Amino acid sequence: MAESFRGLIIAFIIAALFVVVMIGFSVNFQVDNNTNVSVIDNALVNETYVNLQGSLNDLQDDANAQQNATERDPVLIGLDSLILTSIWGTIKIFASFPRIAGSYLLNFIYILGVPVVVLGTIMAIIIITLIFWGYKTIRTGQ
Amino acid sequence: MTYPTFAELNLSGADDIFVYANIIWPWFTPLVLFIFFGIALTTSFIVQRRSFQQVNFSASFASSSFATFIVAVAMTLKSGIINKSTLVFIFSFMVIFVTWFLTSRDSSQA
Repeated sequence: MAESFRGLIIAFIIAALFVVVMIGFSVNFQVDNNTNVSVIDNALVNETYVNLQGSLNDLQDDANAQQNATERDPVLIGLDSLILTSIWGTIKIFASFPRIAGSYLLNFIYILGVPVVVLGTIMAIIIITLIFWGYKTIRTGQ
Repeated sequence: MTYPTFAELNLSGADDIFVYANIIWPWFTPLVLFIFFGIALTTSFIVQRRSFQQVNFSASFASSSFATFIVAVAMTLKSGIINKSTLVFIFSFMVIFVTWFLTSRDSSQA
């Protein structure tokens, strides 16, 4: 799925949605069956669940706003290509989601006892990948 | 080393066998879940090799960890079989493997 800038963003969106859904499943299972063990009992998982839900809600608002901006943007034709100035705003907004969602998803690596320096390295790799893929998207239009 | 007996712990019934084993050795449930994960993973490898002549490692790890998490959640129905930290560990592994599957290039062929 992650063979492009768009693919990486969609991958993180689906991963965040998957985490939210599975935590919701665990909570509903606990409530329906009156069990005393749930993943939400962990403070870090609980915090990650709240933050990911908020990020996904903000994502929908951002998508609607970017669609409106794209529809208002006049299309310019130049240098054998279409120039859409709103695309840069779209890339900036949606490129932030993998960074935000990635920082929350990395909490699960922290739960396993991995040192913080490893988490920082993984985050740096994600950000560098986003920067170069964003540039490639603008340059090639793909 | 003497272990408390099944009756001394006021346990009864077949479902308390797992509770008893977990009380005697707290790593029993994690070991059972790890074995289940290994069996699911190995089965996934073999089926993919037989059907497609190639193996998608990220998909196998993601599906096996998901199945293990479902089994772990089912274990929460009986108090004393699985504790919170084990469940959170399994959940964390599942999130990592699923994220790896979604962000890998191989997932486009899945």
